[in-house]
Amino acid sequence: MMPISAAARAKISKIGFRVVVYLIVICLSYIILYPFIIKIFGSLRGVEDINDYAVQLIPKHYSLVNFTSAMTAMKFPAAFTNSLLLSLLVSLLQVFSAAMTGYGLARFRFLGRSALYALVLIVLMIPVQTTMTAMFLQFRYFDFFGLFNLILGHPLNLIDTVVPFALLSVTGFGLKNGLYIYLSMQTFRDLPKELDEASEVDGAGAIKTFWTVMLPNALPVLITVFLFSFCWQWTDSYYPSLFINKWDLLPRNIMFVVSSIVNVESMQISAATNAGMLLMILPLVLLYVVLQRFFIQGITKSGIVG
Amino acid sequence: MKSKGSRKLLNYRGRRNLMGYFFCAPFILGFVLLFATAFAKSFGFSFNEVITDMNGYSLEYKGLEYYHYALFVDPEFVRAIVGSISGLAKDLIIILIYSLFIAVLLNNPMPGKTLFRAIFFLPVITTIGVIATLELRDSMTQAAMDTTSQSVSMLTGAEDLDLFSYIESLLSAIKISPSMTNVIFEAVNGIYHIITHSGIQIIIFFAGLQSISPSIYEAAMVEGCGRWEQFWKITLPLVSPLIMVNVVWTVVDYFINPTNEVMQKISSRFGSGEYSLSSAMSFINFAVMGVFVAVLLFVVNKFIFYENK
Repeated sequence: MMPISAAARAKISKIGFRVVVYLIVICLSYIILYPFIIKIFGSLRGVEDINDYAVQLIPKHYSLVNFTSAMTAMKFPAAFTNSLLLSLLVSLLQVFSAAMTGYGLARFRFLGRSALYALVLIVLMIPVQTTMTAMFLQFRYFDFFGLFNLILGHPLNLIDTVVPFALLSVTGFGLKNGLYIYLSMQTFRDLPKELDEASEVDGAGAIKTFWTVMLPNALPVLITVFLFSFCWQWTDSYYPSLFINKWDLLPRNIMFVVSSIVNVESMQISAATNAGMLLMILPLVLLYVVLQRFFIQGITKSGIVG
Repeated sequence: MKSKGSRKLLNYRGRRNLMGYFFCAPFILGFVLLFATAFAKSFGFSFNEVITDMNGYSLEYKGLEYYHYALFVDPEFVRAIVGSISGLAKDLIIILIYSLFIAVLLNNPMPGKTLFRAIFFLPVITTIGVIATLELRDSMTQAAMDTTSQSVSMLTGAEDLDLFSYIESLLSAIKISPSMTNVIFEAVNGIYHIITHSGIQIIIFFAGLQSISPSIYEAAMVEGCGRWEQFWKITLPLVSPLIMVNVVWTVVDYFINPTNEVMQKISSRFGSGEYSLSSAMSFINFAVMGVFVAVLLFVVNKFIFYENK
């Protein structure tokens, strides 16, 4: 047998590693994609194919009819714009509250810190459904230490405005906000002490240190918070049903697809629903692909990590 | 001189720490203004009968009646809670290991990585909000349709073109016993379950891995540190604070996901106007989950590596 040089052996092991990685990733990707493949082909079926049992996966007649009927039923342009604006507002404010609270809890030792930490966990563990009735009443008869009652003579009605979303998100009590605060807290906690010490020796205050040194180092995680927050708001129908019941929003209007297509078979409804779901999912995938490029940029910009 | 210096330091530290209140101010305000009363109100509902009428609602004190009903009278509630505990005990470790493993794989520089990262992001979307609801409904109608089509094909004797039955016949053709086939199918189903429930955990770990500077790995490589050693000595310690987040999130998601059996019971009670009972049930669920999270945090915290203790 020919003796194999160390370099060649290293190369073989590298290639072998690659092959194994690809095998695993491709197999799992297939498992994840399989339901989507069914959905995509199912939603591309023409009317002729809906009840054709010979059509298993690949349609005989391609058509966008399911997409157009889903779009009409969802009032897509309006719902898309509203959902986009609402999700942007909520996710930006949630990133703000997660970064602020996470940083405060992670880098400062003050009285009541442990209580606040426990509170973050509690907020994380309380489902929307538990507090939603009380939350609704809170915003229906909103008051700020009796101030509005004093000036206007009655509490404010904030229902059917975006104010409840903005207030909940900016204070860290929005949808899944506990997770975001916890995530950002654990990240700030792990950044080396030298970072803020060096900056403070240079004469920067706590706010400037936070903005110029700590935030860039936590960028991948904060982008992740933005991403999660956007996706959750984009698909959430609980809070909108409480606070803005009249708006056209994608997660609400997708339910209209089922009821709008009357007088046709359930197969066609399910094809149109699939089309509607794909229309909702696609923007989120695009958002992820765009955002994950920033992950790496964050690191190369700030340089020092660890 | 010395004492003056140390006092000054203390003052500086003390003053610096006061900034903590500044950064937490939004959260504290939100707690006082929005959350505290809403939380207290729904907690109060669980001890009172809520009587709704034309001009709002009134409360009638019932003590622990609803808790008693949920725990001792309702035949299914406790069983559902036990179900989520045992499911969690089975899945928690597997989900954590799987999601870290996938995050490390996806962090590798390889051709097509953007595509694969996008694919592994898909389970995040399909398990949240209205998409999860529709998926659940879809899988239920699918299951109903499968049973009908199965009985139809049994009646007509037609060959079913399902992938699973194809594999089943293939396995029996190569003389693998039915019980073994069952084990294989359960494992495949299990993998699917784990994949769909680890989407968020993978992205969280992935963000953590992206925060590790490549120069650390380069330095390790120069020192002759292999891939395996790199994982244990660099990757794992540096992402370990995120293990906490993922442990907590996995537990919480198990308990409060709307597709969870307990949550469905709570929603259906709420839907039928039994506010107090549904509230009592949520707080029992919350208490069980709280104990779980507290114990896990205590245990896992012992193994976490923080850069600054």
